[in-house]
Amino acid sequence: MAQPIHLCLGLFERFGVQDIALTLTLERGAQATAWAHGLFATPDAVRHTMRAEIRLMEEAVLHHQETHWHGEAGDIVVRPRAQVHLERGARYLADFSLVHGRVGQLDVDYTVTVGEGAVTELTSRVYGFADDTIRLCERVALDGAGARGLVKSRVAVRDDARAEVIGVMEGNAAGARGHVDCMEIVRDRAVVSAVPEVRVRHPQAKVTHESAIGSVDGRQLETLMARGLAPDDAVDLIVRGMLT
Amino acid sequence: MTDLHPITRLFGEAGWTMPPIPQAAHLVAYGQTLASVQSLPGVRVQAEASADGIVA
Repeated sequence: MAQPIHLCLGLFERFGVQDIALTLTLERGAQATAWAHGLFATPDAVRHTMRAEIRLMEEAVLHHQETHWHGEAGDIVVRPRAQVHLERGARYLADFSLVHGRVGQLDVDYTVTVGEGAVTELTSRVYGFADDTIRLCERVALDGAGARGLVKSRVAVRDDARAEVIGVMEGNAAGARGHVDCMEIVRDRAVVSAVPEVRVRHPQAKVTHESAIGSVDGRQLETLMARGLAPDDAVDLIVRGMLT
Repeated sequence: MTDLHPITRLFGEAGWTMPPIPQAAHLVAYGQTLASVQSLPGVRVQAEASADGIVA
């Protein structure tokens, strides 16, 4: 499939609800790119929920890019849920991004089961501020021999925002390889917790994790300020760089 | 059942370039209302809207 499939979900009223139940199946050997856009311009009281069942049959490949824009009001609740099943040799590469406008309340919960020789990479980028709350929970079960998985999160918060990042990777079969990679930047009174959870149920599986939470790197900040950037602009550039 | 004007406006407000949605397989929804659904050879898109939401 040369052209992307577009899933455009929006609300242009200040109040409203959007509930989506999505079933997406790629047949054997199929390849597709899906672009999902969540556009919520002026939310005063908006709720968006998504329940997705995604199945990739043998050797199918799906690039799934989801980008949100929530305007500046912030009274929005977004709850995406996904169950993804990858058959032998399938590839599911997903990228979730919410770095423009307010987050509001974000609660992501994805589970991916990865079959023999299949691969998944889940990347999340979120920038929260004011009183935004963020919960990212992504679980990958490497159930097939030689399955591969990566859970990568990049979260920045400032003001009074809160974030909880949970990455779960299970190595359940011979030759399975998984990695959880969390990087978070915290400023002002914001709080982040990162919980990488790794489980191995097969002696020939290997799962690793790394997690870094802190303020912006002092050396990077000094370098940018030495080149003439104001402190706030330098911090913003570093944060945006991490989220790109 | 095709109304892409609101989504065009939303892309503009977000400062994003509108992708070539009319030429692609797509599903566009505003709230619980389906605005446009299009299948193409090789991609079947089916969707129904009700007061409880959209099933696709």
